[in-house]
Amino acid sequence: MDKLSQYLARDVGIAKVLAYSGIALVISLIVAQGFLMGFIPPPSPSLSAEELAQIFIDRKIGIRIGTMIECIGFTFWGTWAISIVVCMRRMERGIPVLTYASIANAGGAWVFFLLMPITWAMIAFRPETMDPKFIQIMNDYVWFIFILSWPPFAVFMIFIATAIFRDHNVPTIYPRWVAFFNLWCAVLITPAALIEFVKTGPFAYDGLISFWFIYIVFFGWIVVMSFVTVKALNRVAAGAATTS
Amino acid sequence: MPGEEGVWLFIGGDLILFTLLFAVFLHMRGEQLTVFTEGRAQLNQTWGLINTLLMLTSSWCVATAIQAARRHQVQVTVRCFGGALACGLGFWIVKCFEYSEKLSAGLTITTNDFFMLYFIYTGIHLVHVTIGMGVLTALIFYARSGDFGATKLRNLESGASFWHLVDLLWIVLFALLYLVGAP
Repeated sequence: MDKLSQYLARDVGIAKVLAYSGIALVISLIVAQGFLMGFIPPPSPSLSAEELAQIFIDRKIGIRIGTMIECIGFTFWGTWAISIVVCMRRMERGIPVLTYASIANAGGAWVFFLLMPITWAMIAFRPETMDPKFIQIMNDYVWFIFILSWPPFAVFMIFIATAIFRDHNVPTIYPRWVAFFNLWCAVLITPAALIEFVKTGPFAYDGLISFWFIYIVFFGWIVVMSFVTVKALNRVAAGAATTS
Repeated sequence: MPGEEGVWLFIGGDLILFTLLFAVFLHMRGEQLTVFTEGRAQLNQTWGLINTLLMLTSSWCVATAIQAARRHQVQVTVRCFGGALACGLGFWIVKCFEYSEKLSAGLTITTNDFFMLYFIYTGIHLVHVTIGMGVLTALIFYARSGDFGATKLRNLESGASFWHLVDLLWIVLFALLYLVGAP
């Protein structure tokens, strides 16, 4: 093995760790937001301000610990996304347009992830003395940030799909079904836009479609992409070994 | 199987979403039978029927285009995809009239659960129509150069399969929203 391949093997090793960090994100979500905070599913948007404030008072310790964990877990969005982007760079010839666009996109999307636990932590900081109306607004804000911010994520999925369709490697770094899978996820998260209109039913932010379905699709997408990216990175390493 | 396997993954996934949406509709209808029966009576079946005919015609155009491509008839292929695209545009225009009719009658997404689902479901479907029209436009440019090899035919079939999905979803939506419970 020559020097270049050795360096590449090491880089691919780091990238694989980044790819697996997506799994850590999903696990931290289930543990922190699910078990510690009890926000899977969210408190109903039709609750009164006082009922909602009581939830934050009752669960404040769980929420504080949960948000602490989630801040760490959600940081992995950025690391995980970059593991896909490095594969995209290998697929593009000429000007790496999709790669640059994805880096900007992933970096921006990160802010939305971290704002969620930070805002919840602020509510749980002094829930007894805070006006319940404020708590209600801030809690709505968290869910709106989480669910209504779907477009950049959908665009990232479309970037991934486009890069796979245009991949010049033989065989392609990702199998082609991954491209269709990404397009599918991009379409499936679009009902997220509807949470603005309703406070009850399947399209409210705690509903069957707008919460459960989109949550499962989105975080399922992260898990699936983690595994296929690790395989793709193996192909990147193998491809470089044969061409160098 | 027409098209490549990946596109069927996409179609299957989309059908899962719509199956869920249809189940939600029937469940909510069961709970609020009067609201849904009255809501359905306020829909204009004529608009719905015109759109159904447009969708069926567009599907026929797309199927004919694929047949023509298999026989290497470039002109027919392009024109048939163009015909399907025109039907899609017609669908959009009819929907605009229909939505404005509802809105001017004071029926909006917040009126009741029936109209919430009506606007959301037809809206999600309209997004599909729009994406499908983008696909058809791409197919027209793609088919123009002719030279229909195996790969090109497969790609054309993939796009056409998506358009058939858009048609299929409308047929079910039409039945569900406009016809279920009609006298």
